[in-house]
Amino acid sequence: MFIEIEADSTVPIYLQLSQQIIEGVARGELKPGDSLPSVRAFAADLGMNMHTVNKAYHYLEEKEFIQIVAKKGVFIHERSVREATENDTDRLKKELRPIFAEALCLNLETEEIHELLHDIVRDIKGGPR
Amino acid sequence: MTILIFSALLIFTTIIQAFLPKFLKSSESFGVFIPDTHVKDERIIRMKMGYTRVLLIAGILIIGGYLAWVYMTNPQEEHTVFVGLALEFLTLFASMGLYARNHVKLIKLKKYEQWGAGQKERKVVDLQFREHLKLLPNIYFIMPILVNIGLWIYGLSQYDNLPNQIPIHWGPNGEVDGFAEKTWLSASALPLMMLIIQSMLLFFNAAMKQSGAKIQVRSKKRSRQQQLAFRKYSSWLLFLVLITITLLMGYLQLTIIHGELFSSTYTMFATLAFVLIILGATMFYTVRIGQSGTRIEMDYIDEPTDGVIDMDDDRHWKFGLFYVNKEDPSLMVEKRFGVGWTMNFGHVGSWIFFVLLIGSIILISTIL
Repeated sequence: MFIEIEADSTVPIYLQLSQQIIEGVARGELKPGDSLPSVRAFAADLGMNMHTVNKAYHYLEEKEFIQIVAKKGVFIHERSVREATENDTDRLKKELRPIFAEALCLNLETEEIHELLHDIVRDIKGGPR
Repeated sequence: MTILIFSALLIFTTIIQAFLPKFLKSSESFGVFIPDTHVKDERIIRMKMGYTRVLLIAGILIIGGYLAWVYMTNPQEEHTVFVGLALEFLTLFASMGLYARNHVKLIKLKKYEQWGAGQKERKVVDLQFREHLKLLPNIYFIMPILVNIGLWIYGLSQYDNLPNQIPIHWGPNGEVDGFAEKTWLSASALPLMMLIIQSMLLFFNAAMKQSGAKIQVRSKKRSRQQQLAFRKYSSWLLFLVLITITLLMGYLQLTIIHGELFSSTYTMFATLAFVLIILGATMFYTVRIGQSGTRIEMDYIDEPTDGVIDMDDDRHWKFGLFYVNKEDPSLMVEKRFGVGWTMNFGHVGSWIFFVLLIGSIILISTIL
């Protein structure tokens, strides 16, 4: 799977990395147990600091999307695709709230927000880019 | 023999240097990053053709002059060698000079016309690149090292039977023309030197595995496949060099121990075979594989993408020749102007490597 990074984007690089890996999992292109490059190899491919990759991996590890096994490597977490717990839904709600608030300020109707949601889901599931 | 070797070397150098732009990625010309929007720019193509033309004409004049000089004045052997070497350097300097001129010209043009403006710069990473990368395992490189160490120990175990004058240099006809007083050190010189070369090749193979892949945003699949192939062939080339050099040096080591079993004719042919194999393999690597595998035909088709270009990393390339990037953990990177690899001079490991290499060469030349 390819990952594409824009250096002069407002989204920090570690987030771009993380978000694209999460999308890969959502799309099924990355399956639980699949291995990811080592921090050093990933940073070399990016031509960027290892710190950036480390940050992305820790972010993903915290969210249980990947598992870092010492001396073995980095793998997509067995629980990366799972039934959402109450905690998970609460967290998503919280994270989505400011975005929907912004949509309301932009005078989007509930219908339009629904449509937006459908579009995004279809786009993510649409297959490899 | 000497004139044959030197004119062959000059012809080889001239051809490789003159046609070099043909074996390189189109996204990098004269050490300058060229965005996809400009890879087919007429002016760049004309610059490359001009470079080839000038170097070919200069090369023909140099080789012609050299041959004419040798046949007309029939100079002494060492003069032929000296002038041959000088002309070899002249050819290299000429191509460097011409490179520098084009490099500066292209940088100015790119800046003045703001190539790549309005395009989004992207860096592409393939998450599975290293799973698909098929380099020869390092253990293949360790085996010949063990053979060398075995021969070294064998040589020292025969110390009393060794001649009082240890051969340390061979002439082009295969005859020994340089000796050193027999000591434990001079009897170890050849295996020691070989150990340095072998470790260097092992180091390159290991460093290549960690080297960052450069996947192009507008041709992701094609450039990935070409990179994988390029790295695989690079590893094989290193291994071929390792095997042939181990055979040649091992053979020389045996001639030192059992001088009576071998003749200088064998030595001459062994050396010649070695040179031909290496030249042939390098030619194949350059012409059929090309830098980053650009000469390999690929049937991977990437959907055309607009509005994006690869990330411009000119700022990390000093004069387009030296890669200096403190952030990048790669020790080795693919060359920009040339077929093969160069070091990341922003990495402390590269400096340790150079200090070790130069230090051990100086050490060997002082103990002899």
